[in-house]
Amino acid sequence: MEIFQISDKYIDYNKDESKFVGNSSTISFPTSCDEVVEIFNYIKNSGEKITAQGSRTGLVGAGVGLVSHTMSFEKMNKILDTTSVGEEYIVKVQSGVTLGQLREHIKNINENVDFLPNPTEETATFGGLFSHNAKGMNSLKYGGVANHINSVKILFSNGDVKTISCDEKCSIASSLAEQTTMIELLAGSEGQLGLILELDVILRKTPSNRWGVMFFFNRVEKVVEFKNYVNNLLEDNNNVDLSVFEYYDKKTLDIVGEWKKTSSKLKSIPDYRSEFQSAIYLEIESELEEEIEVALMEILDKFEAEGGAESDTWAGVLPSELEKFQHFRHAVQEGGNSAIQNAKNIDSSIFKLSMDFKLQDSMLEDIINRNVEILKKSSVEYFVFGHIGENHLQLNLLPNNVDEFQHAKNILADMCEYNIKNGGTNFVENGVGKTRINCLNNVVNKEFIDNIKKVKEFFDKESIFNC
Amino acid sequence: MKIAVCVKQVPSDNKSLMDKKSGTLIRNGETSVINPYDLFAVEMALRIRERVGGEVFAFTMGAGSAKKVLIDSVAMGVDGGYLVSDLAFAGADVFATAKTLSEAITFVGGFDLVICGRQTTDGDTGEVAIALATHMNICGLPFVNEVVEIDEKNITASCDFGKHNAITKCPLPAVISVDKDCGLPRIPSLRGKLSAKKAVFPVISLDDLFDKNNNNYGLSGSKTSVLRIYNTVFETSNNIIKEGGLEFLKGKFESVKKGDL
Ligand SMILES: Cc1cc2nc3c(=O)[nH]c(=O)nc-3n(C[C@H](O)[C@H](O)[C@@H](O)COP(=O)(O)OP(=O)(O)OC[C@H]3O[C@@H](n4cnc5c(N)ncnc54)[C@H](O)[C@@H]3O)c2cc1C
Ligand SMILES: Cc1cc2nc3c(=O)[nH]c(=O)nc-3n(C[C@H](O)[C@H](O)[C@H](O)COP(=O)(O)OP(=O)(O)OC[C@H]3O[C@@H](n4cnc5c(N)ncnc54)[C@H](O)[C@@H]3O)c2cc1C
Repeated sequence: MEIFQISDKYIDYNKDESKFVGNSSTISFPTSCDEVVEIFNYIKNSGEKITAQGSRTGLVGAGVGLVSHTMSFEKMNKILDTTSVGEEYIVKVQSGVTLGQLREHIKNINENVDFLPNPTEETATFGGLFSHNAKGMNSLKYGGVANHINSVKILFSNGDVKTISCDEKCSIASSLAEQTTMIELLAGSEGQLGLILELDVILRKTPSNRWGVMFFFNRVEKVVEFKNYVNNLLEDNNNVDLSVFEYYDKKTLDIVGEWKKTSSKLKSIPDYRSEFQSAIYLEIESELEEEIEVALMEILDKFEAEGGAESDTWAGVLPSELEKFQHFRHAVQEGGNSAIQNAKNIDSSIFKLSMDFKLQDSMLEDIINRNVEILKKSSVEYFVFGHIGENHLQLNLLPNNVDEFQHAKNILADMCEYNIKNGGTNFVENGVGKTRINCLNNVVNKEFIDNIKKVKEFFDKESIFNC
Repeated sequence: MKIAVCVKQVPSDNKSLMDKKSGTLIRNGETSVINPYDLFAVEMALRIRERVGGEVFAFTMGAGSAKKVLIDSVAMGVDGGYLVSDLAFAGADVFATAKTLSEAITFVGGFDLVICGRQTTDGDTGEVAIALATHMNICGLPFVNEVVEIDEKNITASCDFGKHNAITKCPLPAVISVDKDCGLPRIPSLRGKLSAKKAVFPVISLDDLFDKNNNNYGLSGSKTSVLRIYNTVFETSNNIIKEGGLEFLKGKFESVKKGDL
């Protein structure tokens, strides 16, 4: 068992991609379940706290320890077993295995299966992905990572190591937990309920045909109508599935445009006109390619009828073509994070301020049409992107200095409150972590918070994990 | 202006095998893609069409599966394409490939400009464009990174010769091969992609060509044959310089500055 002091050598383990800085004093890098148990017992008996950490690609500081001990799972990085079950495969991984590692592994298994939820950050670990229930662009069809996990081996705060399978019902009497399975409860719990040791990841058959299309808009006012049209058109069509439906506002397009200048991954993406006001990207899947083509033809007609130009679309079918659109989406986060890093270089107390909103229709329209007073009045720059198909957008603020940073915090809190008042919900994706915790009390109802507290108390009475 | 653009189908990865006997590539249509360099050729053709008007047609010499690269070209915006395909064309080297393409382009006729990619990712000789110009007995400009001027009579282009660019003017018709610096290939539009799948491509076979002697095509018309294919092993060594390290580095630095390294 090795435990290290966090000095200069390990200082980076006290921050993540949100640029939030923590203050853990010690760190360990277990390589096996037994080592995790040993270190856990030692830390627990010393009366200290433990923050579980994956690859620190999190965007809300959830894996950054505020106090005591950080347990990094980056060396628990072995793929343990692969079994085939009908058309599917189950891959047993240690929780520090990264998405990129699994992708490489899949290449040697079978080219017709994949880990379908597909979040974009390849260096994220399965422990982290599960703990945030991370989602890819295609969450509309495939949901979050948890929908593709067969079982989880976890160390609870009482020292028990248990393997929880995906159909296991939750035994605690809390209205939050009553209707859920254990996996649903643990997924997205941000390292609060236990230490994840291993996961059985499900690989499923990839769709036979998939088309991806980007539509660039010259006018924002047309976006919501277009979105409603596409949703209505495809809702009743049983032959095709809309798996991705993403929105990028103008500032997002600008950020990717800027990031493109230096990113080798984006080098095959051509420049697009700076006049574009926004873009929508959708992916449609089907066993019958003709059905996709018919649907896309209708969507294109609508786009043109609303003043869009056919030449302002990009289409792809082959994996190498669709990959470009994936890279584009990934660049949104990378470009945004890099902008925050620039501000942090000026003042180190600045970190990423972003929030996910599940929006009612009217609020969605207001945000897209830039009609929200809170944002109109704001002097802080921001960008908005996300799963428009599910009315689920992410707002990111880009403060340039400390004053703007303080202001940005208020904007975020105000937006949360405003969204709740308008019937929406907040932070559905990417977690609450430490950067969003201040907004929590203002914005979700008390019953919800009480329920979360009950669950935490049930699993981690002594508040050992991630405090 | 009527432009021909030459596009070749190549394996999507380097796992394809060579036929040990014939020294030619064993092609598998399933895992083949358009030669990445040819996307730049298509892009250049489309940009010239946007500049001066006209039509662009893609030509590919290959098996039936090579139709896929014509579909890709039409998806990007070219007006049509020709599949140059006949058993007699199989196993062609640079000389025979250029001969076949020149015959096919002449058969369709009326072209002012022929555009090729800089090289392919399989054969990789980078010689077809100039061989094509020779067969057609017209001017050839290799490795063009910019078309400076073009009208019905002439083309002025900047050619990349490593350390130097040569700006050259030549009369049309001409053949050029284009470099990756000449402009990023566009992503196909939705309508382009949808309509390309329905496009029909005429097949040009030996019977259509002016020279019908099959000894001038394919393996029998080739001037070269591949004797052996083998992997090269690059050995690197770490030299530890114990004395005079600074002078050594200065020397290297000067070489880099002069462009010798
Ligand atoms: C490993 C290997 C070694 C070889 N060595 C030799 C050799 O030493 N000598 C020799 O003569 N041949 C050789 N060949 C064969 C030769 O490469 C090809 O048969 C011949 O087509 C030349 O094409 P290239 O791929 O080199 O084209 P390049 O000259 O690299 O291609 C330039 C451009 O020409 C156009 N073009 C080329 N082929 C086609 C096509 N089929 N259809 C349409 N457009 C096309 C494209 O625009 C392309 O970008 C070799 C092949 C292999 C696989
Ligand atoms: C460029 C970029 C793109 C991104 N794209 C996406 C995206 O498309 N979709 C998406 O959802 N997210 C995305 N993210 C966010 C991030 O990748 C995810 O939140 C991911 O789930 C974090 O994984 P991690 O291994 O880095 O975890 P960390 O950031 O280290 O930790 C995240 C949480 O997991 C907990 N945790 C980690 N390991 C364990 C364990 N073994 N046991 C218990 N708890 C554990 C931590 O305590 C913490 O609460 C992106 C981030 C970046 C930088």
